[in-house]
Amino acid sequence: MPATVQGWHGAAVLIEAIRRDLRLLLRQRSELWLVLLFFVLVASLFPLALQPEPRLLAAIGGGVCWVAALLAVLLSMPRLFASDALDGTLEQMLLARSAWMPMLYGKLIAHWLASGLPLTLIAPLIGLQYNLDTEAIAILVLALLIGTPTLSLMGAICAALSLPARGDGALLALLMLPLTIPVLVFGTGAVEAHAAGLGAQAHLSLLGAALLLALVLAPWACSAAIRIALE
Amino acid sequence: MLRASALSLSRGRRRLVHRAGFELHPGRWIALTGPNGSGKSSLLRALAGLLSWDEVPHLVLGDQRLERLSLPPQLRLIFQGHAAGWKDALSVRENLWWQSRMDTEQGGPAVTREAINLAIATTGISAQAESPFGLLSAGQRRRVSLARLRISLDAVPSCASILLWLLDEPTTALDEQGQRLMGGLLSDLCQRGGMAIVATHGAIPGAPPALSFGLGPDPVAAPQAHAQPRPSAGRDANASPGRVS
Repeated sequence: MPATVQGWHGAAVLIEAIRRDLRLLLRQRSELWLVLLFFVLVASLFPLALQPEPRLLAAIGGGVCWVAALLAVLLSMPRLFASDALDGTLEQMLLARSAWMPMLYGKLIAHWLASGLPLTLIAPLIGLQYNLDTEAIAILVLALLIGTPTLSLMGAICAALSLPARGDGALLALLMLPLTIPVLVFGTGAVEAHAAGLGAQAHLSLLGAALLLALVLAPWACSAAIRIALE
Repeated sequence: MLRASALSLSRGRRRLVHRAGFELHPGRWIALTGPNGSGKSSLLRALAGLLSWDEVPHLVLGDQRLERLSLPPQLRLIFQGHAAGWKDALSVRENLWWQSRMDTEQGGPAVTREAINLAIATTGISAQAESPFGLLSAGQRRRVSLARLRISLDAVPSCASILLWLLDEPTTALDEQGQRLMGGLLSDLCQRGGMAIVATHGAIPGAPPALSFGLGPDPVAAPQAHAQPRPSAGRDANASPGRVS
């Protein structure tokens, strides 16, 4: 580290916060695998439960993938703030004045890097399992790439809101699932629109718009919810 | 100089503090005393800005009116609550590095590796510096908090900033030597013109004389409390509730 450096602000805080959260996660790797395995397991349940007919699977493939992704992100949400709130690091971050918002952004980005991104990367395997053609898989991956950050951001608001209830999973699910329905609809809609030959552009654009909105609004909502929770 | 008045705080339906106040000059510290449950932690949290007051308090720093103590850039606030704020999975050194960067004022000089090493050495936790924080004993964890205070003292301050420590029972679990370390830190702080408000149950050996602010069971009867200097360090056992001797 350099001898003296300008005080901590902006991008440096953001990057340091991402590195910190990822480092913490690497030391407790089970959290990472949990999300990934859950995603694969849920997606693999449907062919077992329904008749494994190729056309049926191809028709529901996109939807199943999205529901599984949503549930996996939901599963990973409690760890975002719960442990920091418990050991007091969250309130120290809150007191860090101008460094607070970059740190919060860093936590949210790190969370997506460890949950949404691995899901998106493994989705092609699920796509193959459901007999989707290559183009459909590409659209699915693109939709997940744009949509999972939005899921993470919306989930973060719900995680912050459920902090006073000790991060109660049921409350979190109750808050998060209805909130994320639009993303689910547009995400699966993209795959279906492509399959119907209508092109997925409209749906992907809407997903992109939702992401931009969430990027701007979610951190502020999280911050307010955390302040209330720490009182 | 920090002056506060009209401090009113309640938790649920219980009134903890009612229109109390204090005056703190650079180089002095306040010992916040009172029985368990009297609201010392809540008062510290409210001063730090984590808890809301019942009514807007009147806070003045020098000649500047403040909304919150955590706002002005010329006041470096260090808050240590009950949950000391360290991650079990990170090592002691990593924890101190992260925390001391957060404590550094924006635009001011950052903390150096030497400063962290010095703090670790003076608080006697060199042997545990690379261990995960979760493996430390309660007393050792407290010493890490002392190291944080040491780093904040050594970080070169910019000309106009004042250091203010808000500490909630910092000597819990510390042995005799650790308590003397705390006293030494307070003494260094006062020498450098900083200020502190420390919730404590007993005297801190080696600390300079403190102003006493006692919380008690009947806050409504308490008049405006203006801290007066006392000859002995630590808590004054005869202070009446809400008053300052």
